[in-house]
Amino acid sequence: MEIQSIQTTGTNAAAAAHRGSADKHLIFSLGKEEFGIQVLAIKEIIGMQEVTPVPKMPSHIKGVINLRGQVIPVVDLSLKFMLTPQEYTYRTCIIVVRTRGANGDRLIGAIADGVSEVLTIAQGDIEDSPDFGNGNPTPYLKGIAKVHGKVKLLLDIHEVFRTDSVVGLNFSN
Amino acid sequence: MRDILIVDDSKAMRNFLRRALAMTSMDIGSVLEAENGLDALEKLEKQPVDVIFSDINMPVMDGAVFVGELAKMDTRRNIPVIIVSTDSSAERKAQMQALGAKGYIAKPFSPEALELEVARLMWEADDDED
Amino acid sequence: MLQAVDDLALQVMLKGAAAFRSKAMASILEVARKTSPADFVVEMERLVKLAKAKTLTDEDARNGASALQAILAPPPAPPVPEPAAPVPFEEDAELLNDFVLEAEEHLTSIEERILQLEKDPSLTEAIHAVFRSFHSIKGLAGFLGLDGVQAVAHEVETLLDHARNARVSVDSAIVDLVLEAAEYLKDEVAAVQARLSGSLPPVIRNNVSLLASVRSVNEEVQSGRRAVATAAAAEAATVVAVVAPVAEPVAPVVDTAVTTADVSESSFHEEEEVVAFTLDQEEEDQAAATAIAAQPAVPVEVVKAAPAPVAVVAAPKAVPAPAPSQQEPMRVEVASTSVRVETSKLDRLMDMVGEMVIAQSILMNLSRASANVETRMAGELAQLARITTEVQRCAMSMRMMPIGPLFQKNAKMVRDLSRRNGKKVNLELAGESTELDKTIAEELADPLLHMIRNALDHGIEPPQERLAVGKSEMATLKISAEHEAGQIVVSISDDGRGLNPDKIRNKALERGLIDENQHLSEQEIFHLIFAPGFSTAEKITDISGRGVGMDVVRQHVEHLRGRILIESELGKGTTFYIHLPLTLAIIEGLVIVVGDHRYIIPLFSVREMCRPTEDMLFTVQGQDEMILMRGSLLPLVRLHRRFYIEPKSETITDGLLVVCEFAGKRFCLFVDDLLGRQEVVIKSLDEAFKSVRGLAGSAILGDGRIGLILDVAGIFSQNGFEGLAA
Repeated sequence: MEIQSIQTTGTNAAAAAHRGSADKHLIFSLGKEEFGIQVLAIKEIIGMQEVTPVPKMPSHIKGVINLRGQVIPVVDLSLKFMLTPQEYTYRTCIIVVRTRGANGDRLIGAIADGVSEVLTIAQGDIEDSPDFGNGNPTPYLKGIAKVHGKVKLLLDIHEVFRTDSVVGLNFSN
Repeated sequence: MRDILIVDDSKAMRNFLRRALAMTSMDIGSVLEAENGLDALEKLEKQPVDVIFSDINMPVMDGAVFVGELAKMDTRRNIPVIIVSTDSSAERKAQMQALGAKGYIAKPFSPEALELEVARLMWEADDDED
Repeated sequence: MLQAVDDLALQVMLKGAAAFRSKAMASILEVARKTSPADFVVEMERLVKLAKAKTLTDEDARNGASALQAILAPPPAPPVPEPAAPVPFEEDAELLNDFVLEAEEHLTSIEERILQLEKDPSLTEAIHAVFRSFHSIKGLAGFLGLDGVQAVAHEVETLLDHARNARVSVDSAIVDLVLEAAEYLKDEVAAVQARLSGSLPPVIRNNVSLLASVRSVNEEVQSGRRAVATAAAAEAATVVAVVAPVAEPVAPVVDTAVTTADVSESSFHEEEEVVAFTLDQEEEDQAAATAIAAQPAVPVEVVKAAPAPVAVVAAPKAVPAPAPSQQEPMRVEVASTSVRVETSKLDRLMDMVGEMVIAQSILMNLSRASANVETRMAGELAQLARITTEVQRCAMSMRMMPIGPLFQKNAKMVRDLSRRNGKKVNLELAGESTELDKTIAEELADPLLHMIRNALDHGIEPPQERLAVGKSEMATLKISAEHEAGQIVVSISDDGRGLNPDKIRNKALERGLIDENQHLSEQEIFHLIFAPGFSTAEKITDISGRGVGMDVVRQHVEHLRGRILIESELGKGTTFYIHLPLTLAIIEGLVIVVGDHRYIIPLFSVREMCRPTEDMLFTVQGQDEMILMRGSLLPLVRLHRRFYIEPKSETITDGLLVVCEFAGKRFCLFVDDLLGRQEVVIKSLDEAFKSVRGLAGSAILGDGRIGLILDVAGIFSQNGFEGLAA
């Protein structure tokens, strides 16, 4: 909408730049799969560090880390997506993303096996996520893109970290 | 370039005045603020201004006392004081004039009214200088 | 510059050559030397010089002025640009915001002062302050086109002007009017604020009857009829009248006055202009005179009579009021020079200061650990520690505010409520300047309100009942605040019935909150009144409701990490002490360890610690574990079982017992070991963890690692012991 209206009123460098950065995706791997998230949503990428576990949370929520004085939760995406759990290596990193929470912005760390590159994937090159035939749509999958013949799964990071999908199973009783 | 002192216990009212001054075509220098007469006298001791706008009703030292006290300051007695008040009665005007106020503007005022009063006052003051 | 020259040209037209002699020339020249073309400066200097020497003719002056204009604006001269269309004041968000903030301050002060005045009408400086507040609001409203505000503030200002000139004494009817006006203004201000924030504005009630009431009092005062009624009205403390009753024969006049007021009010709105209220004193007098003249029974001369001296007699303590011009400074108020800062910024500052404290303590530990640190460095580190502590204190103090306004908010309620209940209450406030964290003050408002209502409803007896037991008719309710051992203690104390432990116990048994053979200390019995659904009230009033208030109180106070203590003596009265932390940002905690995990237990919920022996452990009904400690049995909670984590050992004698307390209940928490005691900055946990009971937040420990802060109440009532927990 916004972009359209800008286009009709002529060229606008800022808008183009904005569109460009919206197309930029960070590609990272979880096991053998490659995923992409919008660079715009990423605050920083840090190395793996000591995670303080929080009791009574599902296994994919590893706990909390100290990000320069801020306590933020850390999620293991391999476990979250029920892929083969990966050992943490020197390549393992935490992608800190900024997402919407109930009380404003929240920061969440996502553990990835490693980041590979930043790719510009135009909106037009993104295909709808395939219907896996089980009648179970994956809301956090924004679509897929083929780059150099390889498939990248693009994530809607806000959907991935919606609180209701992260909340721990209540073990009490 | 005219330096101005605004004396009013209400910060919002001081802002109104500032805003109104900015809307005029006057060449405004620095604008000082004081919360009451006493505060104003203290500020004036450190720095002279060209015009003073003062409220009447203020705690600690009100406008009437302030005008009187200002007249006692040898170095500052010639600074014209324009009273800004909601009271537009003739008696009040006369009273403040008798105490030494040079101008009188009733609240609420328009930027134009403000400018007119200042212009009138400045040229009068210049005449007195002669 | 062009503007200045145009001004000059205009003056030359009016005054001729003399215009060049004016003082303003010096400054114009000064600016011209810097900014204007050389020929302009030369011409200008020539003219000024001639003028000074009085050799400049008016004709030359006029020509000179046009020449100057021409230099600056070569023909065809562009028209002097009109100043951009100014934003009308009433649409200027910044000014509106200023108004809202200031009006709110004034309204708070009005309530506070007017209630003081009701108690002691001789407080002249309070009258002046209230007068000034209405005056300021009126002045500001004038700019913003807030006609309703202006109208009401104007009438009340007139009324208070009479009061400060001792033409009328402030009785409860006037207090009512002023409070009603303040309520109205509050709504108006809220409406402005709503407009600013784009939210739904509150419904503003009609101000016609309010205006009419104030006006009719004003007219009574002006005509000298008010004074007599005053004394009578002041006596009747329980009268809930908007306007004090007026003596019989005058009543019809009041009606006439009200009608007049109505008419002017409506015309005021139609014309959207300040017509009705620019009437000066004389005209108003005249209006009143006309109204009274319509009544043949009252001679017109009465109106002209000097303000009745009765008003002064009615208030014997009244100090002769000062002259209207206030030649003497009334009261040297220390002008508060303050800056408004967003709380979010303060929070961030507190956060960063917290980090700094930790970084500093890490540095200290490092320097202590390494043997060969230079003494000079150690000295500098100690200096850093002192500075850090000071910065921390300073940052904390920025969040502090006095508790006074909170008390004042309740003062009005006490007044309304005691009247409505037909009780006579003298409210005493103490320690109003005690400062506490802004957030705590805000969160304390509700619990305080409930507790005061509770005291008024249940604690304090009706006058007859008090007289019957030999107490004075007038009850005393005391609300105070003080600092005590790094905490704030707010107490609410009444000299009413007192709590009856037997009655509370029976009621709790009836409600199934406790069982027959449960042994409870007096404190525990008192605390039953905070249990959900408990109410000792025999009569349910619309104010206290059905016992919902008190359990909300406990929740709130515990949420603030505070606790309540009750002292009560049957027949003598009750005192509630609310102990609160100074700040919510920092707590003292015990760092404990269970397996690989470290947790922080807030020190305020820890009573004692001990290494248990085998014989202290008992098992009730084969499952619930209890600890026998100095004769009392306390439930045992093993933290590792609550959190499903691996402990170092299950054996009771290998670990440590921490006796925790909340809501007057105690239990033992079994942990592996104690690591130490530490002051920590509380960080809230992400919303992902909100479902985890037993966690209050997190903190960064001295080594940079995170410790989770335990919520003792949440851990205890998580499962198992719910039945015991009242």
